[in-house]
Amino acid sequence: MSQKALVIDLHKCVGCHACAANCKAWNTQGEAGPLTDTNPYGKDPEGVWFNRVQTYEVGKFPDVEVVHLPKSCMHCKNAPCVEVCPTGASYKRMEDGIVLVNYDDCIGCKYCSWACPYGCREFDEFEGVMKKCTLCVDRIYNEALPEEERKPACVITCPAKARAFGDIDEPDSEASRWIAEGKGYKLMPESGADPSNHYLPKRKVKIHVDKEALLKIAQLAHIDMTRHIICDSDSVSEDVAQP
Amino acid sequence: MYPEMSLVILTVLAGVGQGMFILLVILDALFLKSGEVTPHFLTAAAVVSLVFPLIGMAASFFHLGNPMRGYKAIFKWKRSWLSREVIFLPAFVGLDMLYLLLLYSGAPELYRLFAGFLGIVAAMALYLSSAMLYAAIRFIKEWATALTPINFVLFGLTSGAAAATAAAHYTMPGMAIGYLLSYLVAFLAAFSLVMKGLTFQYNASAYSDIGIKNALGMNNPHIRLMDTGAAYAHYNTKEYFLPMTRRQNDLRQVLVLGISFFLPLLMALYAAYNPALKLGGLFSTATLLIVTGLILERRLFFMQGNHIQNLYYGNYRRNVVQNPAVSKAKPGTPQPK
Ligand code: SF4
Ligand code: SF4
Ligand code: SF4
Repeated sequence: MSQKALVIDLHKCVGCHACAANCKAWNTQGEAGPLTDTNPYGKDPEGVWFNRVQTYEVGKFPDVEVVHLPKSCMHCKNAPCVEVCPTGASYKRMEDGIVLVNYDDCIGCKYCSWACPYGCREFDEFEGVMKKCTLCVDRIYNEALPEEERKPACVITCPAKARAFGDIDEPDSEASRWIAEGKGYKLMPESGADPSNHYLPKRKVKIHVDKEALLKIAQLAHIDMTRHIICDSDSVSEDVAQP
Repeated sequence: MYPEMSLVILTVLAGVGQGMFILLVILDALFLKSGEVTPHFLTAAAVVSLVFPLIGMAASFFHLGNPMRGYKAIFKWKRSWLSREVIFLPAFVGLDMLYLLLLYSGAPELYRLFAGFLGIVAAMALYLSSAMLYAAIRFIKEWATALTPINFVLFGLTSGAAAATAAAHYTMPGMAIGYLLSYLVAFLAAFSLVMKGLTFQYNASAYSDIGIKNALGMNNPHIRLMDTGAAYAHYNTKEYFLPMTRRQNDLRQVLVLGISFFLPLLMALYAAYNPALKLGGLFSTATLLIVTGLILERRLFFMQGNHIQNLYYGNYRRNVVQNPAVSKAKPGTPQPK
């Protein structure tokens, strides 16, 4: 079996939405396009996107962090969207596990989107068909592209290098290595859909700050730092903890 | 979930036709020979039972993004309840037409009743597949319950019985059967009232164990949405979510129970205690009330459906009911804690 998927490192993601924008740019002109927009320049722009980034605040002040969650189709191994499609327009490819919609068969009943626990399908009101991430199937095998560019548009563009693409059933692939080394996990495993995309958790980073050096800098900047220093560990440490 | 009118009309009106047809075939089998029902009544009722699902069928096309290829929806009947619904709807309409034709042409009773029996099977299969289509979505707790198929059948039979009773009063004035049917309507309306009441009670506490912690895979009790990732709304914030305050929800629940079942129940009881009266008008009104009430009921069925993908947009709350301060916000706007 082969299962292509994305691995997204939440520790590295800076929430810049570049993946979402480049996804839209590639796919609106690619085979899966267009990704139609309503009122794009008005005050209430709407449109079809295959990838969206949500931002959450996790924890309580002062122990708080911001998490950006890029979310696109998980190419589930047990895809409930495929099971319910009455026409067979939604299907899962045997050869690489990519879940696709055949626009020529889709009647636009939206039933598949109800069955997706992750909210990763978006209806195109203009074409009357359901659309979703194709895992850039028109890039990854595209011989017209140079070999190093045969990757999903979102992966190529990510400035933080927070995204990996590969075969998660193949232990040596980049995706599998990321999952193994970064303790990759699946969103909402309770859904029973067995999503293929994985996420790497945020890591706790401790940075040692030398108290003397800080006081010296503060002195130079005429700031009374003694009130602000709340930790003074001695060792330089960077350790990785599970969230 | 967003209550799409075409689906509301389809399920409610087809349900009336199915209920009516089931009842009239049973009356045909039991009472036509003895003359307690007339062919005139059966023909009129069969015509009406055809009109309702035909309107529903027409409405259903407005739901599709590509209605012209709607026929393709029959392909995956082995696994999709929607596919089965798409098969059983025309099957029921076809058998209803066949029955009407056999009735009208005076064909032998055996053929007619056989067509009627097949029609009943198709009608029941249609109730079941329409309902299971919703009940099979396990990510909407309010739908994924045995109450969904029970209610679809029950409410369909109630509305159908009221319509059949109206037809009986018009076409066979003064005959005992119209009087007897008012008991049936009263019983079904009372039963429906109880079931819908129970459903509302169930919905008030239906809530998935899956929470935002699972959705994000982060074991922290304090998680707050800051940005939905969209400048305005989008498919996922609109299709799955309709803000409704607790008061709006409660008011709608009272309207549904009152209009669809309680008032018709009173009317049927009145008829049951006044055997001598011709009550076609009363039962037409009752049918109208039930159908109107069921349209409200089906809309509320959608609106109370709370999909777990709403977790990602801060919209998955207990009771579906939204915080009134929040409910005015446009879908997709980040919500205060
Ligand atoms: S994420 Fe949703 S759309 Fe994608 S395969 Fe899974 S169920 Fe289907
Ligand atoms: S919208 Fe299209 S892909 Fe989705 S279930 Fe309906 S026919 Fe299948
Ligand atoms: S794999 Fe391609 S289609 Fe999917 S989110 Fe990335 S860029 Fe978009």
